[in-house]
Amino acid sequence: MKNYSNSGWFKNISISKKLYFAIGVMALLIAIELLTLLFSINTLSSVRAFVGAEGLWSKGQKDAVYNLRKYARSGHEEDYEAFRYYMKVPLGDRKTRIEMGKSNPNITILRKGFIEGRNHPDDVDGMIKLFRRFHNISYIHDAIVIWAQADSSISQMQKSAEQIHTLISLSGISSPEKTEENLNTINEINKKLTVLEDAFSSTLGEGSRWLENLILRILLIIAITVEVSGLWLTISISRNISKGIKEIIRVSEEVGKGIFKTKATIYSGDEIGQLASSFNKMISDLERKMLEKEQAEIQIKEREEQIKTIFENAPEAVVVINQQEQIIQWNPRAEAIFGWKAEEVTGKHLHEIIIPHRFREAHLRGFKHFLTTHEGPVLNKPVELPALRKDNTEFDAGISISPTVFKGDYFFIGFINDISYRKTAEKKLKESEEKFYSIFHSSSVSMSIVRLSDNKFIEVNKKFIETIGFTKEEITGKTIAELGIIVTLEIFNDFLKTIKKTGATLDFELSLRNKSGAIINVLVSMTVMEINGEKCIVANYYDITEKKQIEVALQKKSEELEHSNKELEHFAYVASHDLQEPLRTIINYVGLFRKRYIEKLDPNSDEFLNFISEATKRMQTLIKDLLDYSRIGVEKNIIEIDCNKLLGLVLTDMSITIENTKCQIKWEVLPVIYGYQELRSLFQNLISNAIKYRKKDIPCLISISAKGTEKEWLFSFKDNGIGIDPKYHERVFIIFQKLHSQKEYEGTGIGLTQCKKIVELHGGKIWLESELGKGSTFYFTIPKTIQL
Amino acid sequence: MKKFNSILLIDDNPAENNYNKIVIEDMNIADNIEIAENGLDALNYLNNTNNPFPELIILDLYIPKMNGWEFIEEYRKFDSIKKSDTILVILSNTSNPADIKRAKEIKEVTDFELKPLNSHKLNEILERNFKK
Repeated sequence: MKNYSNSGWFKNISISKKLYFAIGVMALLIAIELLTLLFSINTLSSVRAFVGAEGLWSKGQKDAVYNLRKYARSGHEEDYEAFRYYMKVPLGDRKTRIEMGKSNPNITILRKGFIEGRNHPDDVDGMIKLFRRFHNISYIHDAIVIWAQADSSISQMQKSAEQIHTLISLSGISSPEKTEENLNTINEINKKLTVLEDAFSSTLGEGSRWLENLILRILLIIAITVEVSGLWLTISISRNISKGIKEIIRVSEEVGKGIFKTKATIYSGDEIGQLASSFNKMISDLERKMLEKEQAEIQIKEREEQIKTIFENAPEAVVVINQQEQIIQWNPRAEAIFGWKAEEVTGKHLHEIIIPHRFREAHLRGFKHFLTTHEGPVLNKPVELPALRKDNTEFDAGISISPTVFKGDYFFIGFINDISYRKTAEKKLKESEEKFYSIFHSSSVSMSIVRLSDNKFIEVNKKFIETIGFTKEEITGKTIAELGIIVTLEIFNDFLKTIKKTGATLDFELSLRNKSGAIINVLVSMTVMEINGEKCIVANYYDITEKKQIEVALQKKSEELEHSNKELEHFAYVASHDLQEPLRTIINYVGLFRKRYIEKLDPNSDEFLNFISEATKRMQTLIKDLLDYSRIGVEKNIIEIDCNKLLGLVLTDMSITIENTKCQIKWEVLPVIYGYQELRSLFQNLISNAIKYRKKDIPCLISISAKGTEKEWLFSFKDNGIGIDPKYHERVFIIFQKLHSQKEYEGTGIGLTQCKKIVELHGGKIWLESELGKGSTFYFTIPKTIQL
Repeated sequence: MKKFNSILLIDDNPAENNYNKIVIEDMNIADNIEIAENGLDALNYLNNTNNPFPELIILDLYIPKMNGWEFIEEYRKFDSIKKSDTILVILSNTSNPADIKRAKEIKEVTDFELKPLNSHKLNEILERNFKK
């Protein structure tokens, strides 16, 4: 294909044009060959004419010499005239040659010269052309040079002849020596001329042979060109055509095999190309049509399958009988309902299979009646009839039968349902409704039933009548609005809208006004139910009038309590201020007293002063601890606490104590939790307790750990200290309860109480595991989510 | 050591005032020490132009008639030129964070110290406020 690509335009023209083109090229080449031939013939003919002219020229010259000699001997004037006559030939040719040498030669003179040279007039034009065209060709050029030399000899000869003629005219043939001398000159010239004539002939001859050769070669080349291009064009066109056709054949074979994907390659824009493209279009159309057909077939198949699936999975039994009342279709549901397999009943009469014996006759009568009159009272509508199972049991069947005509025959399609369960359900429903009414009427909660469509009371229970005060007759048939028992009707109407959308509402508060005008607060729950085929709102009204009163009282109490708490808090601050002041005064003045007067007093007085200031300081600590205790939980900010960092801070605060007591404290990685800032005091109290109650004889060791459960963190602070007897485990958390004397262990007895309050503030628990002498472990929990 | 022309002590407890007076006298840092038992007395003293305007006022917060806060409100009304050489220090029992926070927000309150006063605390106050 590549071979043709550079002649694209050629590919795309029509085949007839291609053929015309090929023939045109051939004709042109042949014309060129013929013209060349004609030209060659003309040229050769002119060469021949020149050779002839040379002959005439030589003959004229020889005859002239002969007559001159004759004249030289005879002295007769006729002989000289003859000489002159013959000399005309070379002289005429000479005229032509000289004219030809001019830049713009006169044709008439040229022709005249050659005709005087006795050349045939038909040859003259060719000779002139040859002379003019080829005077640069070496052979012609040489010949012309020879010709010019000959002409100069002719001139000499003419001169000698004239001398002879003059001599003879004056003195006759009296002086033969003189004549002889002249003749000798002429002989010399003649000899020279003969040589030149030979040279001219041979040069021209060589020229003509060269020309012949040249022409032959040209003709050969042209002939070969004609042959080759003819052949090339033929091959090219035929290959093009056959390639296109082969492609079409190939593709048609493929199509024949049913392969539509292949397309014919279009090699050209000619008729073959157009044919290929039409062919391709035809294949595409064919393919599309095949596809459409396939799809249509698939659709038909799918539909068939759909219908089959519907038939097989229909929730109802589908039974089809023909005009002879024979069963022709029997779906799986029919098998399930009746207990007969399709193959058992196909072809059997319907009445023998599913109609109870007592109805068979009537059925057949009806069937015949329809076939004759086309009237069927049980057709085209749902009917309920008893039907027979394979095991001869009967059941209530919901049946609808449609007759249909197919190819002139009647068919009957029956849809059959076992409705015995529905009958049962209806019965159950009735029982349930009865139960409902029994509960409704005996309920200790007020209840009402209102029709959804018009908001009118249908039914109310005894409790409702009691509460509202109207009689049943006064209530039923009226709407809620007409009865005027709702205080806030707008709110109630909103609830009605909600219930119509959602089907139920739960526990909304409503104020009702009873017949005597008293306000009753109720919680109303409503549900939409179908009762006797009508949509109704069933409402129950829970009397919360009393509850409401209690709630209000509770709210008031709670506010009072909060107020009193606030007062208590303020009291604690003020108390701390006022309680601290006298103590500080005592300490200040004891100090001042000791500083100024100690030397003037009894030695015992120092000890007394010490008792005073120690007691005072303890009182200060007690008050401070009490104040701290009262303040737990005042700042209600839950913060994120990294317990590792918190422990670090506490240990830094206590670093001096820890160093002095050489206590070793170990801990596992603790969690990051949410809690109150008081956790710091909790950690501090537990650690300082563990240090304070260490055993004096062994190294003190405290380990702290925490683990998380789903809902809370469990912390443990374990020590190897003196331990606590289990009977005191509860007491340690009670304020000011100490297990040891002030002398043994200093302290206010408030630390663990604070711990308990802090843990409980978080909603956690604190406890301990300990035995006397065996160390203690304090546990506490902090919930992962803290309730405010 | 800085020597004050006059120091005003405001506290309702005479024992407290007397003690504080002794501490200051022992340090020998004042020419004159005045005592007021409540805010109102203190205000009267300050308003009397015959009295030298004190360079240090030591004020308790919880005192009768006019408490510390009320006194500060009145004190703020004094001409700032008059007050330019004076520092006001609260000396109180309260460790209530709310009180400390409130005191810090008042420009006129230079310092806040917890009772009891002693030479060490007083030196620190002087260090902080009269470094030059």
